[in-house]
Amino acid sequence: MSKMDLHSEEFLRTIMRRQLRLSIGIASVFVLIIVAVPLLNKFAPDAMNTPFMGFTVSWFILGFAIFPILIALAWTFVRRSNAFEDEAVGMVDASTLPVAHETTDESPAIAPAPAH
Amino acid sequence: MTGVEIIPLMFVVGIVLATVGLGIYATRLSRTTSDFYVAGRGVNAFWNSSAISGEYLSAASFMGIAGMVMKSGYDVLWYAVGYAAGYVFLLLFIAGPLRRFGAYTIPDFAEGRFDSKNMRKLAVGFALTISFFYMMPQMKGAGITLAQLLGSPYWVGVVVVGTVITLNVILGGMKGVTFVQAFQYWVKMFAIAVPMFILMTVFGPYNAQVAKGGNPDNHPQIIKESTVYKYPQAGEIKFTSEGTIVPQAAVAAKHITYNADGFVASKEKLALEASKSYTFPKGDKLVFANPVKVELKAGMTVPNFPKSEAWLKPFGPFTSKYVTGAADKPWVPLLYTYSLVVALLCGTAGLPHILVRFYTNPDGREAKKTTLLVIGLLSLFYVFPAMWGSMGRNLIPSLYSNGGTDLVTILLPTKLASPLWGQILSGVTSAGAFAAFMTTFSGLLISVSGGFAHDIYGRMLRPNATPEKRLMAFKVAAVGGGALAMGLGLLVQNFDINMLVGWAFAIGASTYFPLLLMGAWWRRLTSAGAVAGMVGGGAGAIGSVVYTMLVDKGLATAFANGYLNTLLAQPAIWTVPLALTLMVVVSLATQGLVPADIRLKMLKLHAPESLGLKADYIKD
Repeated sequence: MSKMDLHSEEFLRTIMRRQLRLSIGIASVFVLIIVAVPLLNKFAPDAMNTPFMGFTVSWFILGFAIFPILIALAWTFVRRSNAFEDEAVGMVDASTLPVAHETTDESPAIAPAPAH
Repeated sequence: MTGVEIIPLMFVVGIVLATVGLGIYATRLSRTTSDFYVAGRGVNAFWNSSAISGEYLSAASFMGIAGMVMKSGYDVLWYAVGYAAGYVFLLLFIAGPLRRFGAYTIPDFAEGRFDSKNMRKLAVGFALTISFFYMMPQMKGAGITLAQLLGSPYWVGVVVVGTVITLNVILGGMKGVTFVQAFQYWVKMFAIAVPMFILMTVFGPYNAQVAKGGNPDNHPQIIKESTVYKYPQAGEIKFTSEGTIVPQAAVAAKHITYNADGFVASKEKLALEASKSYTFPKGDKLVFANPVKVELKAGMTVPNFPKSEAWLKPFGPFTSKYVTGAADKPWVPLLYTYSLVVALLCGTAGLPHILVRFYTNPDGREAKKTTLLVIGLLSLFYVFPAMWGSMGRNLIPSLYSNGGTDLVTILLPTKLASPLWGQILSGVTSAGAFAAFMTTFSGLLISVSGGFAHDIYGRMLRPNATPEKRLMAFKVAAVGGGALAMGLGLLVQNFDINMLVGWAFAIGASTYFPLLLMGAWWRRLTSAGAVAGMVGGGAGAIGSVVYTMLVDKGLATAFANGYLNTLLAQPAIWTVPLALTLMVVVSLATQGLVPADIRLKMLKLHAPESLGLKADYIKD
């Protein structure tokens, strides 16, 4: 793939599209679950109110099961998003990068995330 | 509960001293303006996520959810889920871009994104509004908890907690607060988890408590000795058996009767006389117009005890509040549930004191890692409040009598056979509750003072002020903000904590969330579009909630329509789309206002930092 100018429309469009697609993809799984639970409570009450380990199925979902799902979705997003950032850095034509300027942080110990 | 609870009080004093001590210790570490505001961005993801979680877990989370689960059951689980899940939206759409843009506050973002000073003013206005609304319930929580422990008047708790935190903010700034907040997350986690495990080994596990609480054979207990309870304004007695009450003072009350299907049959106003006995049949409800002490006579069952079926299953008393009859019964609770979920999911991303913390991450990558850790830490915490609520239903039903379920986390441990252990564990949960008011209040106070010093003083009033002057402005603003919050806190003794928290979330969801979402992802958004959306959404949310509050206080008349009342009480389901739609429509009509360098701005928002585009706002 040919390298892109950092300030090109093409590069901006590519990174925004890819990031937004990732965010929307994960958000839709998340929203689907959140929307589905009340609907199931409404239209499949017998299944959702079945006793399950002392709770009802629905209580178990909101009381426990949903939390690991949130964590898994967030973890997937962070991993993919970081992988894409690394990829995006490689897409840029290095000659178009801004000249390295002095750090704006007063503490040089905090280096920006290394680019791979 | 008369007199001073010595052991819990010692725990509370301990946590207050530890908070102040840590603040003073941390002062030595913060020297520059940048240190003071944002901890020099040297806070790693673990500490920062603990601090964000510590700051986020407020009185509503530590006491409110447990109390509401006890009171209303299943539907309230959505609060726990929504408070944690809001961070997923924040992570997916906002955390990374916001940090990359290098804006310290939302007003910075608003001005930088649109090149508009007016956007800054509007954003500052909403930040201050949301923060003060969110401070009031913290003050109220502090007031009622100290009243419980000390037998002190309400104002003592407000003034003590308000003063301590204001001092701590002045002395330590954000660096101090970062350590203090992180420490207090772990205090709260310990305080909600460890006593619960001990209580469960004695009284039975969570699932057994839920099963018992939802068992149809679980009927309300009979009150064995006549007892006097304090009722706040709008306090309720819903009779679960025929019962006799004796008001200790003359009071006006609304008397509501219900038909066989549970819908309102009649309403009348009664003027109850002091020291006179009144008997009401099972199922009737009284709502007092003023605070009053009322004796409940022995022989009746505990009032306000929700039926087991309704408590255990979805669409119970909480979401069915505005059902008017058989026609809207199937749909109003569903609408209420969805609107509540929208407010919680979008409102989290609209809280100014939380958003400011993303600047303490060194870069967008670290900001994302922090958010992921926050979701983990909050998920761990939010499993517990429902355990307290379920066990409280079975062990201290007397709290139902006067709507005192908010104190369940404080009082449940006193049910242990050993009074000493009961006091110690109650001390632990009291300390956790104090950690909750203090952290949230200090985070909000920093947000308010920082907003004043950085946005109003530093950018509008005296753009050339030296860092020392700005630091002084920050401290002056903290004193003023703290005093104002205490004053407001004194005024809201009669207001429901959750109503106030609901305001903050609804306003945040309808203003900041659309601004950040659209500002970061839609380059055609203009300042005019953003203003239209924020003002339209904000006005819709504030107007609805204020109206609902006035109805609750008897100062306005409710609509007859259950859907309409639900949309006013939980407005997010229409105010968030309204704000987004206004932003799109007005922006498309004002495309001339799109900043000329919008492509560079979008690049800063979305390109990885290692490409060297980052420019920070705060420099020494």
